[in-house]
Amino acid sequence: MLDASITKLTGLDKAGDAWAVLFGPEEHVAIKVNAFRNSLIWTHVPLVIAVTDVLQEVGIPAENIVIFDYWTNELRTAGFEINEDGPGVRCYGTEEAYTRDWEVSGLPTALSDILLGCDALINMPVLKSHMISGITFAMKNHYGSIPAPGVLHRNIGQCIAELNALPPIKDRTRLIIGDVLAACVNYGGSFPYWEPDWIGDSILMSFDPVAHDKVGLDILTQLRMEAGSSPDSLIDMATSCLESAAAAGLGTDDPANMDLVEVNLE
Amino acid sequence: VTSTSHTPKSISRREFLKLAAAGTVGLLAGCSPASPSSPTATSPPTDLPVPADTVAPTSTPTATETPELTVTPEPAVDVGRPDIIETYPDVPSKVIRAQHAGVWDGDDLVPAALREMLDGSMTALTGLDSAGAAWAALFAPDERVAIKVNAIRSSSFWTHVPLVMAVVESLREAGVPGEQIAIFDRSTLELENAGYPVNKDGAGARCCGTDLQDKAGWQLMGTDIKLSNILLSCHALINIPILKQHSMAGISFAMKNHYGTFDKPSSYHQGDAIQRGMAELNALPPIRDRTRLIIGDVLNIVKSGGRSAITGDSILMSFDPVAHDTIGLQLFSEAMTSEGLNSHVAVAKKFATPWLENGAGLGLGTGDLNTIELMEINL
Repeated sequence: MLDASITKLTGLDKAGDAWAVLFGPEEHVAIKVNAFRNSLIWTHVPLVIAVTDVLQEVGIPAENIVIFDYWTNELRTAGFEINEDGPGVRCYGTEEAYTRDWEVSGLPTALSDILLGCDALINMPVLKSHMISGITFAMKNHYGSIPAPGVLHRNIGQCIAELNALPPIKDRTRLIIGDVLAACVNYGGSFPYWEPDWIGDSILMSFDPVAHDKVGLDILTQLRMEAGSSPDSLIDMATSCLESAAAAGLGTDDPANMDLVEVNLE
Repeated sequence: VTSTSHTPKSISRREFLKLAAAGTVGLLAGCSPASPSSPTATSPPTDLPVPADTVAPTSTPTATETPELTVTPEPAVDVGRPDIIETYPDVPSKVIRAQHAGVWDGDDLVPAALREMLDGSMTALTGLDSAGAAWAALFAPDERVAIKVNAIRSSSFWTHVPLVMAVVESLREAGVPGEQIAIFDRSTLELENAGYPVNKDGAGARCCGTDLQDKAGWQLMGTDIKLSNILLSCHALINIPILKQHSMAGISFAMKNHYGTFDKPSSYHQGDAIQRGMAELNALPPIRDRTRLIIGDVLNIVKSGGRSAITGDSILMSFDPVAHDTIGLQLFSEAMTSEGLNSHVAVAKKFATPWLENGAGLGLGTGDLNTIELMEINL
């Protein structure tokens, strides 16, 4: 799935060439997953490992690759093998290591030192509905790259857009791989707020976080309707986020400007 | 955007969280305090899914335009309040702060110190000479007593179990059988995770979550809500929250703790909804009329979305939730200031002031320091 996606996305014939075009052997690559503790659905470990495998195949030393999220404990709970400084791919949480130098929606904001320490970023969210932003997917995933996500839930559309438009995030993002191997179609009202209530068989891949999340929203919309629940509130909430992000120049939320390529494998 | 699908062969679901279990017992069903007369019961849910943390000094809270505060009448329930419970405007609302230099022994709380804090607070609050008489004046042996703690999963700090156990012990000494006492929060899993000994129907104090066993019949801001069956099954309620920073409410303490007592907490977190919702929820008769005592756990002051905390050495005790939370806001501010986190103070005050004012406006108590009698006990 990864190989087929990367060739379609880049237009190159071979997956190896495509990965090598995107990531140089001397680069440090950070992979932002979603291992949030209020959830029982997380970015699937085997998918992430498949990505770290292909990165190593194109010459990136394992020790130059780091899988991260907010907290080490959350990663461990989500099934990731923690490796802070040993041989092999690194995997740990930002913990308290942030650098404060930015502003989002008028609020001082810090960013993960793991993210800031890398040359390239792969964003690997998992598809979930969300009670405030409609969906949480690629752009919302970066609420785990900052130390104070709570305050950015007010005026969330603008906050998500501005956060993703910060140069350290925008400029480092080389690839987005959306995990749709499962999804949380209907979030809950108490812990666990997100469970895998639908099992899927696909991934998304894009360079454009807005287009990526728009396709994710369309998938969730369809799943909600199939489940017999209204997607209207999700669409309302997510649309404001997508519109703000598009207005910030992060990508397009207009399907007419997207090229959705579907690959079906047996 | 490339979408790639693959016919699934074996998609493994990730293991569910392994929750540290103190005590045993399964899930499901409802627990309730045993009744000397006719039992009913089961238990409830709490807070917000949103990761909390507050660093920003100057965020803009949603405007509060003199909300139309509403409270839905309660169906008939036989709940009484002892006359000894007096608050503003009849008298200044008392808030007792008991500090104990020896309450912590390393990472452990000292039960004897907690009892001293509770006993000292009870006598100061009631004006009675002995703690036993004070507990007995508030809780009768034939009553069922629910204790609402904060065990929300999104935090790493919860109402401390030894403090709650010291309260249970005091109740039992006052003649309330253990089986008529129910420690609850919204979910049994969360209580287990927070270190509580789950006991749904065995001997001794009961402890379990509402687990979606809620009852309809009330409205909050015009929307139907349900309240915890555990709460509804009891005559008296002791609210034991822990003092926490909250990204939308400023702080979470006594009034916010009841977001674990009804079925739709996540619907009342945005802007005006949290400012009105917290006040109106606490003004619902089943909560307001049953609340006999509030004991604020300030043994930790939780920040960073529940991920870290400043160690404290005190508890608060009051009959008045607004006064209690007003003093809680002060203590939170002092703790943050001592850590140099002045921006946290500004944010907390900005977000907490509207719901405190709304609570006072609904007659729940007073947030005016001139009408609060703060008594400090140092042990």
